[in-house]
Order: sequence, then C-alpha cells, then structure tokens
Amino acid sequence: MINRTIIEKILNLSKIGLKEKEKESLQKDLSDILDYIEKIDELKIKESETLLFKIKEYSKAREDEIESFDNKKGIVALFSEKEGSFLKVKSVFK
Amino acid sequence: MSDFFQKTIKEINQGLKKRSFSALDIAESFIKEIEKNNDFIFSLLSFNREEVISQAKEIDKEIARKKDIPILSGIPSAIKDNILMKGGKTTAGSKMLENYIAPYDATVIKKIKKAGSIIIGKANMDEFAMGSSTEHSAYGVTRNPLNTDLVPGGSSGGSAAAVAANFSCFALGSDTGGSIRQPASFCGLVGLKPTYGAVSRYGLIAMASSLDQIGPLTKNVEDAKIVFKAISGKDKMDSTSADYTFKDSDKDVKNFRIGIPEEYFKKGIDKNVEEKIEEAIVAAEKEGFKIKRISLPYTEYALPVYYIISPSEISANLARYDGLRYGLSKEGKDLSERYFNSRKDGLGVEVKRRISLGSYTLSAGYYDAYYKKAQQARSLIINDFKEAFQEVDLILAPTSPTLPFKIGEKAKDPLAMYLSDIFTAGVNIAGLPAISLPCGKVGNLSVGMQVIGSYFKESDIFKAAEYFEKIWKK
Repeated sequence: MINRTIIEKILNLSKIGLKEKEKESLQKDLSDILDYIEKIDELKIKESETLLFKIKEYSKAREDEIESFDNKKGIVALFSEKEGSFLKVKSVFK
Repeated sequence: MSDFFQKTIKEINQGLKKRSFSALDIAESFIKEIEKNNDFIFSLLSFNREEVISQAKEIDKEIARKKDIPILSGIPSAIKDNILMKGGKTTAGSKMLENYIAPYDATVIKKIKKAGSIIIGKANMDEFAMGSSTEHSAYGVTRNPLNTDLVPGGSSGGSAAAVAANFSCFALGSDTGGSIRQPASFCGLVGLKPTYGAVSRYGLIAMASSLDQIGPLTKNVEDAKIVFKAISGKDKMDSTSADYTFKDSDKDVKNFRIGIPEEYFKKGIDKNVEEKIEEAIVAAEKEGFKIKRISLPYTEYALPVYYIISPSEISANLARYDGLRYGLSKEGKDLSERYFNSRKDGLGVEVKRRISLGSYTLSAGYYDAYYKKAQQARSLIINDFKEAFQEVDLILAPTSPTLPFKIGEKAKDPLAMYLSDIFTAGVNIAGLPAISLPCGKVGNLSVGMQVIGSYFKESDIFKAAEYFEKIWKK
C-alpha cells in the first residue's frame, strides 16, 4: 500500500488539488494499480540484452522553416489574461 | 432513403457521379437519424444542421460542374473531439477545454475536407482519451446503439456510436491502447489502428505520444481502407510521421501465413467471445489459409508496461493545462495556486488518477524501477512481434476479452476497466498496425477479431480482412 506522504508528494508534483475523500480513494486505486503493474518485476532484464525503446528510428529531423501562422488572434484569444498580444501571468519571483 | 446506411463509400461516390441521388439527399437522411436519436445515444457533442446542409449543397454544385469528384465527396463523417477543427470547440471530453476554440485544423481534417467529406459533428469520448467505455466524458455517457443499456467502448466510443447509429458514414478516432479497435468491436464495426507514424498527429490533442495514432471507424473494411488512404502520409508538422504512401496489395490472399498467439487464449477471456474467435479461425482454416499456432512469450507484460509508459507520458503531456495559455483558468494568490485550482476544477477523476500514477512512475527514486524497466520490457515485446513476423505474415487475436458491458458496471473499478485493453495494448507498445472487424455474433452483439500486421503492412491487413469479412459474415 502506497503511503499518505507519497500521495501528497505525487499530488504536489502533479499540481493537482484533491479533497480529503478523493485522496483516500486515490491512495487505494494507485495501490491496486501498482500491485498490478509491478508484475514487470518478474522480468530479469540484463542491461546488455535490451536497448531502451526510442522513437528515434521513426522520426527524422528537418530544417527549421520560418512560416507565419495565419491565426495569431485565435491563439491570443485563448489566453487567460493578456496585455496586447502578450500572455500576462503572475510574477514568479517574490 | 435509409438505404444510404447500407451503402459503401464507393457505392455512394458512384451514385453521386451518376446523379442517382444528391449530396443533400445523403446529408438529410443522416441528419434525420441524429435529430431522432442523438439526445439519447449521446454520440455527438456538437452538430450544426445548417452548416451540414450548406456543405452538402456546395458538393452538389461541384458535382454539377465537374465529372469527377474526390472519393469522400458528400460522405458524412464524425470526428473524435480530441482532433482540432479550426474555429470550432474541441473539448477532448474535458471541462478543462469546455470553451477551447481550435485555432487551426488538424492535418487529418485538412485531408478529409480536401477529399470532400462533410464533417457532421464532433464525437464524445473519455476525457483526454483515457478510458474504455466513454463513461469518463465530462459531458455525459454515450450509449451503445446495438443495446442502449451497454457501453459503446472507449475511448472513441462517440465515434463508434456515430457510425453504428447512422449519424455518420465513417468516423475518425484515436487509439493509444485500443481506443479505436475496442469500441469498433463493441459496436459491430471495423476500426483501424495504423502503424505508428502512418498518419500525422498534428492537431491531435496529445495523450501518450509514443503510442497515439489516429485511424478510421467504418462499417466495412473497404471503407476503412479508403479513409486510411485519404489521411495517411508524411506531414512536415509531425516529425514522427513517416514517408509512406499506401498501395493496394497485389499478393494472393491465400498465401498469407496466419499466426495465432497462444497467450491470447490463456486467461481472462469470456467464453462466448472465445467460442466465436475459435469458430472464425476454423472458418479461415477451412478456406485454405495456412494457420500456425505461435507464441508471443512477453504478452502478459504488455498491459503492465502500457500502464507505466502511458501514464508517464500523460503526466508530462498534460502539464500544459496550466490555466494560463488556454483552457479553464481559476484564480489563485500566486502562480502555483492558479495551477492547482485550475487543474482541480478542470480535470476529471480518471485523468487525475493517471497523471498521479505517471508522476509517481517518473519521480526520483522510482524512475528506474518503473519507467526505465517498462521501456526495456517494451523492447522485449517488440522483439516478440518481430520474431513472430519472421514466421507469419499476419496475426489473428481477439480484440476485447469481453462483450460490451453494462453502463456503470466497471466505472468504479479502474483496474477492471484497464483490463479491457489486455489484447490491444501490445500493438500500441510495439507501434504495429491492427484492424478489428466483426467475426461472429452473440445475440445481437458483435465479437471483434484483430488482424495484426508488421510495420506499414496495412495493405496486407486490408487484403486479408476484406476476405475474412466475407467468410465471417456467413
């Protein structure tokens, strides 16, 4: 069973707020799911036997091309707060 | 004019060219079904009658001007609501994006528009494509048109229900762990998960980027092929898209060597489903197909690997919902509180669960045990398939371990819901193409069979599936 301190840490990393009851049910659900996925512990994998999976074999980089996007207004309209066409956010440093 | 619902895309195209009927006739017959049944089935989140009618009239004008029209001209389609359509709402089934207006068209949208399709509306889905029943949409549950007490599958359940309920001729969905194939199976349809890289994801709201693919849901294999042909190919806006042009297979269908992986019949499969799958395999054997029992030894690790890799990528991809640039925004005394408040109100239970799980498997101290190990196991699963494809050309396997289940039956048990993906996730882990098509019936419910091919062998899959479709209908 995953403990409460870890649940709090995960929620903080995830930037997710939860009510007390929801935290309890998350603790139970995550414990069940982790019990299930820990099945991969049975696998004895030698580093030399397997390579980490990479998407690289599918993807090719191309030269950057500068193109102007035809709907800047549409993107700016979605901002939560704006000043002109700039996204306005609360200051990060106090 | 309800006979449109039985016609293939090719038949409709020919009828339009011969002026046997108009695009307006087609649109009106599908609209009639939507207006009669969508409130109850709840497949479409948006539908604009006037817009559809005006597009149909445009197509009719085009037909009057020209002799030839593109293959999807006047063909109504439904689009999963995680695919961007410029100027319209794209919610991904989430409160977070309730008022999100897409600033551009996804590449697949550009392509099907160019091919003439009339986009009839956006289809309901599990929030951010996380779920196997379409019960996790923030806007309501979609019902299975074959039996409205049952789920349509998920996460592309709205797309599947739209085709099954005759709201559209075809639909686009996305498949990260089975989200096209499983709803296709539950609603008696054909659904294709293309090879990773075969279809551009530009404009698809990302869930798990090493697994996501867009694909068609249709009533028959030929339609799936036509839609796949229209949407596939290299796109400079998606660096994972491959230089690939679809070509029909000219192979003799009976020469395909077919593999049956024993691991897919070991446990967890419903008896009714297993019986129909076995019958379908016997039918293929009787037709003279060379069937070989094969082994994919790491099959049982595919789902655990999926439920590590997918939430890990989800937790990273969904970090973009910060309440600042777009999406729901809730006030907070500082930046951090704004993140927390916006995500708390904007995201649903299942999404929060998967983000949390992914944050855990990626966090310091746990990364090696979960994420790194899962990536290594992923290469073992890929090798399994690669070795199998040395011996056989195609693999047959059940799509879902069960028939469609009741609405509410698994909603409170996340792990039981996750097990719905047990036969489909391996294909995404390996990046392979697979189609699901009906192979038998239990009552009026359909059982889906997957035809899995090697990388970019969609042509072989279609060739065999078109043949199987005929023999399994008998």
